[in-house]
Amino acid sequence: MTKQNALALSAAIRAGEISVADAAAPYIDSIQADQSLFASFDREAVAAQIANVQKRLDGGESLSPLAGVPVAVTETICTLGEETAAGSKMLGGFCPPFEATAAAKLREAGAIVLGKLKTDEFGCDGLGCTAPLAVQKGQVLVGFGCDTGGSLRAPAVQSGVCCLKPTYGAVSRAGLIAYASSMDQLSVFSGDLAACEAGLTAVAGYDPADSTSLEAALSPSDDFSIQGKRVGILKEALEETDERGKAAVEAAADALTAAGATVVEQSIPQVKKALAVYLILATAEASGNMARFDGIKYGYQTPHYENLFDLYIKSRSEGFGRKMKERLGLGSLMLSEGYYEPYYDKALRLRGQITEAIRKAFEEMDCLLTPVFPADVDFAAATLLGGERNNRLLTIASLTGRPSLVIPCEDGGIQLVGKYLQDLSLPAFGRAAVSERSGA
Amino acid sequence: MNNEVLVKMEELALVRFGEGERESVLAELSDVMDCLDCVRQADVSGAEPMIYVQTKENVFREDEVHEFPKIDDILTNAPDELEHQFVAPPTFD
Repeated sequence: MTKQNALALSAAIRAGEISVADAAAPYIDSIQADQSLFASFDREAVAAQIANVQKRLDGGESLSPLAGVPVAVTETICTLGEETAAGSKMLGGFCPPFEATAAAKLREAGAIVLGKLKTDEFGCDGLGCTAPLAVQKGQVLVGFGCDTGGSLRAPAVQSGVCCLKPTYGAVSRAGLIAYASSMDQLSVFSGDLAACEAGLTAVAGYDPADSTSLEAALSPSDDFSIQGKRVGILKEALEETDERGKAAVEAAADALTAAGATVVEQSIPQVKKALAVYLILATAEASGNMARFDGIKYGYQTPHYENLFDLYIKSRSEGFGRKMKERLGLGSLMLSEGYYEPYYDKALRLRGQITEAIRKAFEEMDCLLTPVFPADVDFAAATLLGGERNNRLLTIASLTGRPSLVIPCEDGGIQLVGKYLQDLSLPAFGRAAVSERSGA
Repeated sequence: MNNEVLVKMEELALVRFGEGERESVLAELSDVMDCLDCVRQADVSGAEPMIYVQTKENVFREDEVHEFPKIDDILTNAPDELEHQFVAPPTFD
């Protein structure tokens, strides 16, 4: 199927040049023919959405630039009455009695949510996530899922798709199945940067249902110009990557310079500990979040048990996969006596040091440029550590809560990390950095 | 990282690894602990713990009644329910 431009499609729909149904038809047919990437696809529910959006347009309602655009959400995002299992047996069959705020916003914007994309267990594995392939295969134009420490950005780049993780708090986490609450962010992926920008705009905004939701809005990008902007290349990230990664960064730097930005090298040695800090904090938070899965309120319950604790242990042991159990065990250990101070407490303090060091660096720059993958990236990594090591250059934005945009290119990909609430400026940096190569 | 620590992890997290996978789990978690050693050895003197990237504190709202999912809708996901309550086995024998 010829790749369409999401915003151009929506413009044509809103101008009446094509109906919502005709626009969605090839995408629906594609999914019907191959549902391997989808956890759920309900043709009748989609038809109802299409009829509703068409009725709103016919009634003269002014809808967003995402109106009529075929999108999908991963199965870590709750949608009312639709199975949302987060890729885990532990949550199999769970049908939320509520809708994630972001999902409700997408429906309000007039996007056509075609279905729920599969994720790895609770969306935390990264390169094991196939969701971005749905964009690469042309089954949807925009996707939404959770990125904690690069778990959506990494597979997006690997699938040849852009992904924009917002400033922490810019998008409501209400209805997002939690993994590591201080880092989880609902992120948007698409084949083009304008669609990422429109997707983020559609779901961002203050939500009283999320106590970490920011009241301040994202800064608009209408008047943004690359001219005179300062881009820092992270020295420590270049040391971690290979010749391809360096080539990707150098090409981006050259393009940004040609576009009028000033590019300099930035050294932030504190980031070298980012992976270890992320592992400790994310698994510790996950161990708390996953405590809700007890086999009693929802999800999987072991069929044979002797007493309450036997039910807990067997349900969780049979319901969670091995890597998740390793994460939960590790995280619980980090919070226990004898480990809390030398590991968890120190990780919190190191997080503060990393965040402060990066804040100071951003006094001298407007955007930080890094490669996406380290030199030892292993796309087939099957272990917990192997998978997390792949994403270590992406954890910097997660730990500090900064927005991060990843863009694929012929040498792997680049990451652009921005200032707080300046998320919508990142696509402009991205267009300048790779426009000649990827058509983004 | 040894079997004693692994057992502690299992007790804390309320999970159990299968007998056939314990050896490989131990090896993997041992690699993870090696990776985390840089944190254990780090000098963090003078650094404050950072729990959240935001500086928000005490996020309150007015004590107002809001729409909430109905009890019956919540209970439809429960493996077992009785008289609008979740059913669980007793905590004592």
